[in-house]
Amino acid sequence: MQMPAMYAHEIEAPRTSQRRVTEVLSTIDDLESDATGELRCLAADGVVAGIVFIERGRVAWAAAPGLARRLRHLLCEQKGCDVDAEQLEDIRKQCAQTGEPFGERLVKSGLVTEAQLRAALLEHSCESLLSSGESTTRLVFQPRPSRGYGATFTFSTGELAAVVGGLLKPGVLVSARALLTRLDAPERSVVVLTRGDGAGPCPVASSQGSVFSSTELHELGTWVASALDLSSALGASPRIIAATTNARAMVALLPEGDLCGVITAPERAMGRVWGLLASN
Amino acid sequence: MQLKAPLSELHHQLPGCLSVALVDGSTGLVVAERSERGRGREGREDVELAASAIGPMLEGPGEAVMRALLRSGAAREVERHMLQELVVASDDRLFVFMRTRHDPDLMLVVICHASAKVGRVLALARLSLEDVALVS
Repeated sequence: MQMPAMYAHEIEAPRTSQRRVTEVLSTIDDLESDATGELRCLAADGVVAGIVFIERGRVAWAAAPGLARRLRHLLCEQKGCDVDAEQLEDIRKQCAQTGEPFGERLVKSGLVTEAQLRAALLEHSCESLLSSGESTTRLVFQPRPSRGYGATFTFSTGELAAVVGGLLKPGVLVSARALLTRLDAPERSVVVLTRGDGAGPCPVASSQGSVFSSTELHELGTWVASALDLSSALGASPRIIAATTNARAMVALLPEGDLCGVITAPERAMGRVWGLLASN
Repeated sequence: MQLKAPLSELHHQLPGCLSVALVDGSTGLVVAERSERGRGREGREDVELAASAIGPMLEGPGEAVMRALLRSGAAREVERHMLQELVVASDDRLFVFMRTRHDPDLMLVVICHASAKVGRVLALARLSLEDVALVS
């Protein structure tokens, strides 16, 4: 496999935490789709403010100074999870000896489920991205050998963007998750965006394994904003907007208060989506 | 004048239909229009509003979004991404926009009461699209 060349990207200051995280995620989107390695987030003085490990174009984890033990806390806090710090430390030592990824070993041990590990990894990575984003001014990508992280425990940049958005907008998180739960189903990908607060729509929740990258979510948000504006020009607040394409796909928007649910699905699923939306 | 016939037929077939029209999405011009009896001027205004609003919306969510849908299997391979149909449901109206096959800028526009059944409106509008194509 051809490894991508080392890559460096400057970030202009000053930027908000969210803008900085968006730049980190966009940089990952710009790498080769099979890129594996470390994206180092450097502060102005050259100190490492964070590291993002990328496995075949997906984010395996992000880490930031001071948050090393946070993943253990998040795992112990997972609903229905009775793992303790001592058990986690034993697993970590075993993995250090064998080289097996910590997460995979943890799930195999039966101490946590896949869903619990995924949720904890995702939140930890997003907290780390936000923490390192505060001081990052330069990004440097260094190719590294694969560490064997499976797709189950790696994330698209779109998933990370949605969780970061939710962490930054805790006031809408409960209603966003409720909307996501209502709209989500097999054959669909759902993203919940906040509606215009000056900075344009921002993702705050998404289906697990969202098909979108951070860059694609940004483009989707731009279209959603313009579709909602233009629909309003038709004389009343739109309840539903649905579009089909010549690629036999559909995009449906469901505005709800400050949020907008966006469903993408094959066109054959349109009837069921209409039924669901019409019942709202 | 021939265009009025398929539009009138569609209008007649759809319960709750307020207006049916053929518009040029690229310019916002109304090519032909048929509205409910007694609301000719109001119907014409509704159609003109819809014709002027539709152009930018039909540009769609863009190539990056389509690439994601293609990757996920939610969309099939296409040479050029294009929105085919657009449905906007508001509190009191249902708007349906459909591109004609022979001229993608030419659009069939159907405006109904919000109570109209979306599936029925879409099915009948798709059928009449063939007739519109034959005479336009």
